[in-house]
Amino acid sequence: MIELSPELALLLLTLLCAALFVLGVQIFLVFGLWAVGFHALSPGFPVSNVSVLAFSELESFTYVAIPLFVLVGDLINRARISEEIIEFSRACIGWLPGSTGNTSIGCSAVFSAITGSNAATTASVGKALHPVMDREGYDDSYAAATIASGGIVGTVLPPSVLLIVYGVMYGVSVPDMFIAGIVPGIAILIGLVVVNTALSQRHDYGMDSSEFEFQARRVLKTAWEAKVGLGTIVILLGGIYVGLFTPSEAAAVAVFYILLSAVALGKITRLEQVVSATFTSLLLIGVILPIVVVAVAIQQNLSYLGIQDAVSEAILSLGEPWLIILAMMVIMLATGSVLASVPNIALTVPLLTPAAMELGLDPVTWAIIFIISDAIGFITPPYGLNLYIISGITDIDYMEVTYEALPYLAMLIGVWSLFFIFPELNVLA
Amino acid sequence: MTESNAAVSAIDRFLTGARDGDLRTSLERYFEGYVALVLLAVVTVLVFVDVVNRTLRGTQFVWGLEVIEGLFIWITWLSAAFAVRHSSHLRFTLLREQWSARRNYVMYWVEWLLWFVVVGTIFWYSIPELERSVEAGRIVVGTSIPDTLFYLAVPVGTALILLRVLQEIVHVTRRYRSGESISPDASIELEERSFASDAGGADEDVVADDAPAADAADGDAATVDADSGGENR
Amino acid sequence: MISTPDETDESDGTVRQPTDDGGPTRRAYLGSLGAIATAGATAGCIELATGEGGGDTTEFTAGTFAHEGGHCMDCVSPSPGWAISEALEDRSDGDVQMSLLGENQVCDSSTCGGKAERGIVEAGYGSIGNGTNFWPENNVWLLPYTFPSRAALSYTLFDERIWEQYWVPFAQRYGIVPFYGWTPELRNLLLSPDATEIAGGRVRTPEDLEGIRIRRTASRPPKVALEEWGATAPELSWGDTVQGMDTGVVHGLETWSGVGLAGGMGEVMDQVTLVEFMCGQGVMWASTDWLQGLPADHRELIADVTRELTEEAIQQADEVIDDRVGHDDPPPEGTDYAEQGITVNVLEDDELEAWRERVDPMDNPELYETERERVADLDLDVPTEDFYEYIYEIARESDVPESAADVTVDAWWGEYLDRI
Ligand code: NA
Ligand code: NA
Repeated sequence: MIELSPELALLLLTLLCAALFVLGVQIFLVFGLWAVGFHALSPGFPVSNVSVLAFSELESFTYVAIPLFVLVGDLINRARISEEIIEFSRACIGWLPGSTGNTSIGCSAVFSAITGSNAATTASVGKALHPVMDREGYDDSYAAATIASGGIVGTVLPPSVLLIVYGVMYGVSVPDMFIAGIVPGIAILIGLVVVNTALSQRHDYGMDSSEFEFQARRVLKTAWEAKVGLGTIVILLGGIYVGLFTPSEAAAVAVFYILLSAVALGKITRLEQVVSATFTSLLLIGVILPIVVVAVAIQQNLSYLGIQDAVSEAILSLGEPWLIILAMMVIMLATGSVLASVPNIALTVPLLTPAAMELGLDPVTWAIIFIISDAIGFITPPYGLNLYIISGITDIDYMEVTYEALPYLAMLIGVWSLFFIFPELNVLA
Repeated sequence: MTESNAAVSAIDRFLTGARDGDLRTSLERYFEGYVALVLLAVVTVLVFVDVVNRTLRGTQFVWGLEVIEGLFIWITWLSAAFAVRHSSHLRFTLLREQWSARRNYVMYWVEWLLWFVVVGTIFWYSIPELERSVEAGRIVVGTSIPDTLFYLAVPVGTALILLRVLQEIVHVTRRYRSGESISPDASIELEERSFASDAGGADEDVVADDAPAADAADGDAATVDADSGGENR
Repeated sequence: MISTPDETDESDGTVRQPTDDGGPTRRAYLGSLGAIATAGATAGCIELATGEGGGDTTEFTAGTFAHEGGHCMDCVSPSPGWAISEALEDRSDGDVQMSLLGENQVCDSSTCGGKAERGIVEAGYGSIGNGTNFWPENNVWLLPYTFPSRAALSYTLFDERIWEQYWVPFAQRYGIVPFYGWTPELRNLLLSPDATEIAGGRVRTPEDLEGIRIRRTASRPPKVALEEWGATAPELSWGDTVQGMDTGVVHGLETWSGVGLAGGMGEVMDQVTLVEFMCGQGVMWASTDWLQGLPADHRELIADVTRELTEEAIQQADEVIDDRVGHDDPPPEGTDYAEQGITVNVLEDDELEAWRERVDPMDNPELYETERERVADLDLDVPTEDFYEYIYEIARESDVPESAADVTVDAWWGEYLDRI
């Protein structure tokens, strides 16, 4: 028998986990095996740690916001309030060339400002608008790519579940991050609209946009019709920004608000609608939070073994700020492409934060820069969750959507670099 | 307006089933979901009442935060088991969709083994933790609730996950043998598939998200979030 | 949680959610491979620390929330941890390696102590207050106005009689001992601008607390005291407290000044009221099984180094308060309180008496029966009626030095391991 050195065993374990991921094993199990295996390889740091984390990592009042935000989004769907939001988005930016494409991007922004979830947004906007775009003559892969790209706005624009996870893990103020996400979120939104408008004009996609002439009256009228949905945004974000509520409290208030108003307006009529919306939100919690637990266990092992020191010192040893920025960007793009978001936040952030601090970023500004990179990972292969979702919904080949998303990707990387190189652009951070 | 939302109709059917006395089916499908739902409702009300109290009267429950956090741990692990029952754990299935049933079936065994390695480990080491917490005898401030009740979420939740995995082994094996599709699916939504062993042979096998884009026209954005894969929410 | 920084403190148990105090140095940020490629590249060149004292070397891991930028020996809230790690390596020629993982890399204030008890790490930080989460007997140290001075606190905590009659039975029950101590302080009320507004100026009497919400930790005695004074006392994590003082969710917290400043409270504070009411003591706890299993020479070296540096940390207590924190009205130039423009309320004797009399355990024994009963369960063999009286008396002996600078640590865990 060949005796395995611990280092080699660690490497093999890592490769095994990567292979299991590609083979479609649940992400929780992939990272769970990595965590358990790591502990097994460091006898001084026993695996019972994971059972402690299974409790202590979840003991956070802030996490309560996650199921509640998602529940609000789901109730809005079930109450069919999302259609009003689509009409409102169309009234606002539907008059530009590439009308429906822009509508889907705008709709993603509004919708994600309610649910805090970009994947939910991608799925609902995709189901509602992809067929419409198809009928209007958009290339169907391009339409899918547009929706997948629009779906990432929600990660950066508040509220955002990933910002909550980041805030709880690293002790950064969630309300501060929500504020700091506004400017980059809107910049991303504008960037995507610019790309879609230009491409739609060039390829003559979509209906004649003159059909959707811009009328202030129409904006007001659709805004009024979408009052329940928009009112939710006011409660959610307004209450947090004014300092009236913590994110979890704002979410609880929004749940009551949406339930009362939807029932009063006859949009929710059956208990089952509420029950099944809650089930969806519970499933989500049951999927994400166990991943948080095992990802943190891995991070603690890496700390314990001192691995990260080597990596973060190597980055700092580059010396020149522009080289450090470049190295950080390459690492963020790479990890965002291969890792699911929660593990990416747990594993990559500690690696890069010393360098970010060295560059003089404050924790909130840096958090947003990292989250944008994480969001970009939703449309980068090999693991681009939004591409994957939309490809599932539309039955279009994954790589085809990926290819069509390249112009959006280029724009996103551009916006991201701007905020990284000139952090003062984020005036609200 | 067609109610094509499979998840909603699953509930309808379930409620009908419950009315007809088929409580067993509903418990089989939604047990953890119902318990977690009740706990989430309690949490939401507590948070809401606490914020109203604070804003209007400047007082808060002294035990509020601890109880909310403790219940949230229960909600998480119950939901994790619920997500096993409804095959919602996030994964990357691009390859698997093209695989033969046989290959997929082998891969299922790898996954089942991993559930027992990973979750079994958490369960196993949670027992001494539980004992320790019993010994420490800590009480939630201002109440007589022992802290242990909250830690109990870990052993109970992980045990439920393992039970759900056992159930899946039986179910998927039965489907595989009868030649039905066992392609994995990771959409975060309710599955209608009956797991009841006495369902009389063929299961219904209606997977909730079978009809995605089609319903868009009637505005059925509902289950949506579902596929969303949600890890990123 | 992985979180960062600050959690700080004391807080018993509550501090689950880390938060940031904004300072850049906050995280040691070790961490991850992140990309598989990185793993491949680095896995070949790292040494796996096993934490076992195999052969000639002893390697061990200690976990804490603390960060070197706020908790070095020259900092505003000194912890001897980093100095101990260095001294061990120097004096053993590299044979004894202490890896001190700060900034919540492997555990935070509410979990490190428990992880040390369970042997997940060899040593873990928890203030006396934090530790009550796992070791409720320690609540007895938190009764208000038990310690008349910082010197009395250290003198009592590490007195030979206390080692024999408290820490040994404690270690027998839980398998951990105090491994080293931070610079001692007494807890005060750190208040936000909102508190100033509600009180209509300085908070100098318990009456001024009316309508003020003060964050407390999960341990019971501070809750009792705050409510007796008339404040509302919600429990909150450290991170939520920083935000909460900004938004008005709470108006202040009870903690010791140094840890408050190191944990980012300076930015959200307007004034501090020096009620000096409770023990503010950071402690690193170590597993006795691990200590007992060490080679004798390494164990002796570790005992010597931790004792010496704990003593050094204690002896600078008064200097820390006077020259770094700035407990004076107005705070002296160059101190943290002066630099952050924080008003310091130094109380006159009669003012202090108004705070003390409502919560003092000797005048109000009924308030703390729970704590006294709990420690009675340990069946300690002390000459007084109960253990609380015993420490109360020791803290007031004539031998207690005037200044912390004169406190010496004469008894240490190394001498008691064979009795555990
Ligand atoms: Na969002
Ligand atoms: Na990706």
